[in-house]
This record gives sequence, C-alpha cells and structure tokens, in this order.
Amino acid sequence: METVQFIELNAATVFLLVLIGFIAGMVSGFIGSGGAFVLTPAMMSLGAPAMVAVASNICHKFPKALVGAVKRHKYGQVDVKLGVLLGVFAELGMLAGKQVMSGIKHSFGHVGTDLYVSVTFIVVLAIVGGFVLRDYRKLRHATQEEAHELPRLARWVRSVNIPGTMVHFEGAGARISLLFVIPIGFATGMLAATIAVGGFIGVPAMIYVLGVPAIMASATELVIAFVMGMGGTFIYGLEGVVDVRLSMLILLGSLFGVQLGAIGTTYVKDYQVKLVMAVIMLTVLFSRFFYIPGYLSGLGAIDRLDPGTISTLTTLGDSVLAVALILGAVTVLTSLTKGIGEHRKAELTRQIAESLTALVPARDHAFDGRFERILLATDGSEYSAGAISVAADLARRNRAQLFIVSVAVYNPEYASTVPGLEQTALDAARRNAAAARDAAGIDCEVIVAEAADPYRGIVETADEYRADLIVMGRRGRRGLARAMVGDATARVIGHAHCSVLVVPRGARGGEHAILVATDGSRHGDTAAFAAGRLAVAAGQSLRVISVVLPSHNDERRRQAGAAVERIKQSLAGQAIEVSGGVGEGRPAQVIIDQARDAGAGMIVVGTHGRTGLERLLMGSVAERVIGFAQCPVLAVKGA
Amino acid sequence: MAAGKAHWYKAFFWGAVTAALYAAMFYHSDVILHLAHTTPASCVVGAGLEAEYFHKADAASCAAAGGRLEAGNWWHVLVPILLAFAISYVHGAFTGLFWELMGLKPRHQEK
Repeated sequence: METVQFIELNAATVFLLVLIGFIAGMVSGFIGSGGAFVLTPAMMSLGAPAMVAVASNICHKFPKALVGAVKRHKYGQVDVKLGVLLGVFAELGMLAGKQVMSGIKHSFGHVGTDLYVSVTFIVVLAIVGGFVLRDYRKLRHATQEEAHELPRLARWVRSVNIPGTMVHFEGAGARISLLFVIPIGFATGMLAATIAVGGFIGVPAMIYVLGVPAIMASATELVIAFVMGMGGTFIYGLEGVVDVRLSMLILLGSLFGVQLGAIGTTYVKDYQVKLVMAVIMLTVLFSRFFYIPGYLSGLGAIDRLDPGTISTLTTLGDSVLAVALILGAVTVLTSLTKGIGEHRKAELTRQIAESLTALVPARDHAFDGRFERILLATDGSEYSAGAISVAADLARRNRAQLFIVSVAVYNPEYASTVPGLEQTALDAARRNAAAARDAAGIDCEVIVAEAADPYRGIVETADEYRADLIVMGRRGRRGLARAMVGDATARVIGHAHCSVLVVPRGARGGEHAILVATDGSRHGDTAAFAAGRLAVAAGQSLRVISVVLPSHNDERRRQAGAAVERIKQSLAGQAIEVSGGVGEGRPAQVIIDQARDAGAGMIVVGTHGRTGLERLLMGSVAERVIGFAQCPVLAVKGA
Repeated sequence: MAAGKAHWYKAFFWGAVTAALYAAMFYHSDVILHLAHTTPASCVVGAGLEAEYFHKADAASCAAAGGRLEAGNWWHVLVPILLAFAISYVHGAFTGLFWELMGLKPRHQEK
C-alpha cells in the first residue's frame, strides 16, 4: 500500500499557493514560458510530492494553452499539422516519462521521484538558462537580419530527403522528414511528464532544428501543450495524483499574474527579458541543489543526515527559491510602474498638444452625418483595397482628416521568448499602413497600433482619435459563410462608438445614390437621419426603403409606409432628390436588390450593437446586408 | 459613461461566476478529493476531509488498516479536466476585464 499525500489546505497554504501562482504567472507572462519551472519546485517546497506537483501543474496549464492556441490560430500563427503531430508524439513521450516516474516511485518511493525531478530540473535549467544567457548577449548586439537568419542545422534538416517520411509543413514552409519530428515530440513529452515544462525543448527545437519562424514556433507549442497537457492530466489522473484544488488555486493567481507580466514586457527591451529569464532560471536551479543531500540521504545513497541538517538545507533551498520569485516579481512590477508612468506622461503631453491644436469640441460619438475625422483600418490584404479607395474619396469630398491605422497583432504573453515577434508584427503593420497611405494618395496621418486582437486596436484608435467613422474592408467569403460577417468586422461594429463603413474588395468611391433602409425603429431613424445628412453634404440622391415580410398584416405595411414618408418629409426642404417605398420579401435580399437596381454607391443601415454579443446585437439583417452587398455598407450606431 | 458601466457589469458578472465556481469547488472539497483518489482502486480509511487514501492496496492490508477497498472509476479523471476548463474560461474572462478596468493595457501607439 502506498499513500499519496495531497497538501493540506489551510488559510496559509491557500494564500501561499495563490501568491506563488500570481508571481509565477507574472514571471511567465514576462518571460513567456509556462512558469512551471517556478511552480513545480514551489509546490514541492509546500509539501506536495513531485508527482502531485507535476500533475497539478500540467492540469492548470492545458486550458490556458487551448485558449492561447485558438487565439493565435486566428492570426495565422499556428501550424496545426505540426502542432498535432508533435502533440501526438509528445503524448507518447509523456507516457514514457510517466512510466519512468512511476517506476522510480515504485522502486524508491516519493523521495526517489523527488530526486529525479530535482536532478532533471538542474540539468535542464542549466542548459536552457545557459542558452538564454547566450541569447541575451547575442540579441543585445544583433542586427535585425541576423535575428531572422535560418539556423545552419535547420538548413541541413530541410536538405535531407528520406522517401516515404517527407511531410510538408506550412509553418516551416518546407518538406521535412517525420524522422526529425518524432524525436522532438517525444522529448518534449518526456520532459513535460518529468518537470511539467515541455516547451523548453519544443520551441527551441522547432526554431533551430526545423527552421520554423519563432513567432509560429511559440504559437504551435501551445497546440502541443494542449494536446499533451490534457493527455497528461488524464494519464496522471488515472494514477490519482491530480489535485485539482491545487491546480485551480495556482490558476487563480496565475491568470492575474500572466496578464500583468505580459503587459510588463511591452515596456522593456527584448534582451532585458532574456536577462531576467536567465537569472531566475539559474536561481531556481541553484535552489534545487539544497534539497539533493536530503533526498540522497533518504534513499540511503549517502550517510544518513540528521534531521536538523536536512531541515536547514531545505530552508536554505526554500529561501533561494523565494529570492528567485521575489526577484521576478520586483523586476516585472518595476518595469511596469516605470513604463506606465512614462506612457501616461507621453499620453498626457500628446493629448494636451492635440487639444490645443485641433480644438475639436467634445461631442457624442453617435454618427450625425459629419465626416470630419475618418479612420481607415487596413490589414495590408487585397481586401483593404476597396476601403482605401472609398476612404480617400470620402475624405476628399468632405475635406475630412484621414487617419490610417494598421494593427500590429501579437500577444505580448508570448512575445518575450521569441526574438523579433513584436518587431515582425510592427514591421508588417508599418508596411501596410505606408502602402495604404501611398494608395490613398492624400495627406493623412499614419498610426501603428499594437493589440492582441485586431478589433481592439481599431476600436481603441478610433476612440483615441475621436473618429466619426471607421472604414474597413470586407473579407471575401463564398456561399453560406458570406451570411456571417468576418470576426474582426463584426467586433468592430459591435464595440466601436462611431459608425463603421464596410467596403467590399472591388468597391470604388464616386457619385452614386445612397440607399437607406429603415424598419421604423429608433435605429432606423438614426440611420435615415445620418444618410440624409450624408446625401445633402455630397449632393447625392437618396432612396429610403422599408421592407415588410409577406406574412405581415396591413397594419404593419401601413407603419412601414408611414416610416418612409416621415423620412422623406423630413428631407423635403433639402436640395436633393429623395425617393422611397415599401418593399416586400426577405429584408436583406430586398435591400441588396434595390441598391443594385438603383445603382446605389452606398447602403446605410442602423445597428444596435454597442458591446458584448456583437453578432446578435448587430442584427441579422444588417449582418446579411454587409455580407452580401456589392457596394459599401454604412452601419450607423444607434444613439 | 455607458460603455464603462457595461464593462464593470461584465467584470462583476464574470467575477461572480468565478467566485461561485471556486466556492463550489472548496465546499465540495471532500468529494473532489475522494473522486481524485478513487480514480485508481484505492483503500479508503476514514471519511470526509479526514479520510486517508492508499493506492495499490490489497484487501488484507486495507482491512488491517481499518479501511475499505474501493474499485477505481476511470471517468473520475474527467472531473479535474472539466473543472479546469470551466474555471480557466470564466476566470480568464474576468482577469482580462479586471486589468482593463484597472487601466492596464499592453499597447503603445506610434505615429
């Protein structure tokens, strides 16, 4: 019979676990790796046997990895095939690793596994910490070209052709033999089963052996971490060593810490992050040395030490570990406070300067027909071409100020371990913005925003620059998928405080009629009002329509007619041609058909989206119109 | 500001759900420990939070320790997995909103 002791949870241990989770999360967010190399030893120091510490650590990590993987897949940074393949072989490695652990536990008891885990830690941390330190020194002086060069080993691996084993990997952009992939996966899993940190092998191996760009390697590692983590939790769970309370307490602190640490990285230089990483790793390594004599004595491998000596050594080890944690926490918090202070000062200066020069009066964000500040969002793709042309045309006609934003999308949580991740994203965004400025051909201000999600970057920039209108391209979709507006577009419409003009790829600006659809609601009225102002300003004709379903009764039809008349009358005194009527059929289809028949250059619809469930709030008619229309669609925000 | 308020409401909602999940987990700590330990076959001595669990036990040694032998149930392993997913999701949503409300954002802008 053998007992598996879970940590007894009292107020003190709960507090310590959350605190350790928080600090480890912070360190992890800052230096980009799982932070498990802090957590596993910390849990062991609190009294958890090695297997429980490793298993609970793995359990707290895998859902986080899934969320991260899905997010980064959206940015096209994940090579799913490579991730899954490595994950599967990692799972086998994990089984082997766990088998070794169980074997050791069976033969030598918990003290045996404790020793095994500690020694593995020391060896791995020494190697990886050394590499990171070398990287830090190199990075400090490296040019950008040097940072992006394909490693020599990867060049050789790609040149090897073993028939029957070759697989094309998109991430690497090359055909690589499976015989190279299998050992990497296996070793990653084996290490993860032992110390709960597999990424130490996975990420560098993908970069240096397979030649996967750093940005993709760190994203693909999340797929491996998920596959392996869930499998690992399952396998360890069957042994009865997963203490989910422990996992969740760590998670409680860790999720707060990870984001704080990740934010911290945006205020420091890449090589500073590497230095902190190396120092913490080597300090943790040093702390494990103090436990080894106790374990060896427990196994009878050395002369039995008296309990006093073991306890002193353990306390020393704990203290060194605490120093590593405090060091990490202090570094992150210092860089964060300093960075935020400087950032706020710069922001304040910018705002004061802007309010002095522009003197733009504060007003409600809801669109009122004025196009004085137009924000064009571009992602550099072919889908932005129409948006650039239309935005430039609108800016010219309305003598508006045009801002062009391109969002550098990256998650700072992973940026720190990957040299050049932030730089690559920023370079691409700068190129996109500059290309859009050249294509627009008018005087404009170029903004490069950094955000983990494109829509956030766009919405926040629109708020900051008090844009009246956001202009963005529509991603081309076919068939049923067109009914669903792309994620970024839906989210921008859902979250923006101003109106959004969605432009299909081939659309161009010019003299065209405007068609506005109203359902007689407040939102319809706002849209009609905005469309009216717009038509008047540009001297374009306006067509107002309201659509009823065949099943609607006469009363509903009368209301629709009245809504159209009300709007027509409100524009009666204006020097523009206003026509209108009630259509019958499926609303989105009727609106699109009538716009096409009238040769409309723009459709204006009201949306009620403000925050939250973007799609539901945007309204299905607006969504379908945006998805299928051949001309730009202006989604006007309800006041 | 309406959007700001909505942000607070959302943060409060996810915070409350997170707290409720944690509270439920600790309230049922004994059940969770029992499920974890009885994923493999286990000898259970005592009951509730005071219970001691022994793995790889045989009937004789278990009886000698004054415990009862419980057969393992592999599906117990799904409990920590599902809990981890659920808590990770709601807590993740909450912390994101929390730091935003605290005014911490990782973004710089440049012209």
